[in-house]
Amino acid sequence: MKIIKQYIKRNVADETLLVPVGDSSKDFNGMITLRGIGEFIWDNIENVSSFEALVTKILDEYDIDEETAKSDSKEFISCLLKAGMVAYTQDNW
Amino acid sequence: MNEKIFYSLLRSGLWQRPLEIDFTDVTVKDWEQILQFSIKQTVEAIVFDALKYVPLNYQPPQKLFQYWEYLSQSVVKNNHKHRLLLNYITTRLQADIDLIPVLVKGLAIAEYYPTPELRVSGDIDLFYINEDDYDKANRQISSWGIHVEEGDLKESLCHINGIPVENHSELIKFHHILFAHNLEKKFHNIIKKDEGIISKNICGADCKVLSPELTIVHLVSHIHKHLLNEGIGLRQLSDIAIFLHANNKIINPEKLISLLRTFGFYRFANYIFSFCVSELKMPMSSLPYYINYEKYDFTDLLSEIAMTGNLGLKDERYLQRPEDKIGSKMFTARRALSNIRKFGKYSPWESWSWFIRLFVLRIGQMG
Repeated sequence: MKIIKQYIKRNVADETLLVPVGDSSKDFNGMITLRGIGEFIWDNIENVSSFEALVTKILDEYDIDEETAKSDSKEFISCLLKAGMVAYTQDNW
Repeated sequence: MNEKIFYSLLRSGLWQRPLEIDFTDVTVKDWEQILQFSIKQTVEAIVFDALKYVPLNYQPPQKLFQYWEYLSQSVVKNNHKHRLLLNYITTRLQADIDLIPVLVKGLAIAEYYPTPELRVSGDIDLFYINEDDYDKANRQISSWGIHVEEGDLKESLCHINGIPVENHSELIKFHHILFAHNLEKKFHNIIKKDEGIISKNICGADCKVLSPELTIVHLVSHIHKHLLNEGIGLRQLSDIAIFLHANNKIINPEKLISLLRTFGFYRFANYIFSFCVSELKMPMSSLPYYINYEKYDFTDLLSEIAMTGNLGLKDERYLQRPEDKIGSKMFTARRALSNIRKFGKYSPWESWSWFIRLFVLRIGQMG
């Protein structure tokens, strides 16, 4: 997976704000806020080679069960794909 | 209203000091009025914070406490939204057009409160040193699909996520009948040089702020303007007390006195600083220079604060304002004149010039 648009990350209290800049801001003016696992996924999505590897990384970092990690990550990544913020670089990842 | 209890709670919240007051005779009605008064002055979350110092058996009734807690949490949530938006705007302006605005009032002052999130945040005020930058910022924000409304006084207003954002290319509107333009020019020139602007990270956002001395002049002029116009609340007065206290060691007294004298606010500032000590119980050592604060009488100011509250938005006297044009103008003129009689002596040139200009403007409008 790769992040296909340009965002600047800002930490505001316990939340992370993604601000669209450059070309990203031409078709998206919104404000995206991330918390907890959402931020973790955003930070690691380009550094893992598969969905399973991402889930393993989440399980190493957070005290949650595998099923929750999988379903939450799937839902979040699907939102990112729909918003055109990330794109596949290989089959299913 | 039990003012003694209200002011004790406010001071306690501002300075995080335990209360030294007897709550034995405080009634449910007193608590209700204290809450309403706190809201009118937009200090409800700061006063709520002070309830932690009230002995358990004297706490407000449960329902009222819960409602107050809800209001306080709303202030915190609203503040968080303001902080996110400040980050959003400053990041985008910097990335898109390499522009870093100067944050004034509100969030720039909230930082100095014991718990910044508890200070009610009304809007985000951004100042641009050059008029070109002001125009660029307005154009850029418009290009994000946001409606920017330009006003008459070199300021614009837009709403982003429901939060008002004001862009300014002028910070203080002077009214001096002879030298208003010169004073405005002078103030602007001082901002541009002599370390008038400082870079600062506020709530994660890369911003610029005014130097402490200029911030004080700006806050004092803001209080002056609202006191003569629609009214003043305790939030604005708390702001200056908190700022003086927090910046006590870095404020240059000579520089501050010189600025206040130049712009005609020296005596008015002394009056306001003295209020901070006498009524808000700011430590005397936080005064930027020696002031004989005990010589002032604050009966009129306390009564004005009680009547008008935050920017006069809940002033019951406005209900008596006649609806016809002439009657309405006369009402405003009488009100302005009454305030000048009470407070104009501390800044005679600015106050009377303001009144004359207002009078001339209104006559012109009627013609």
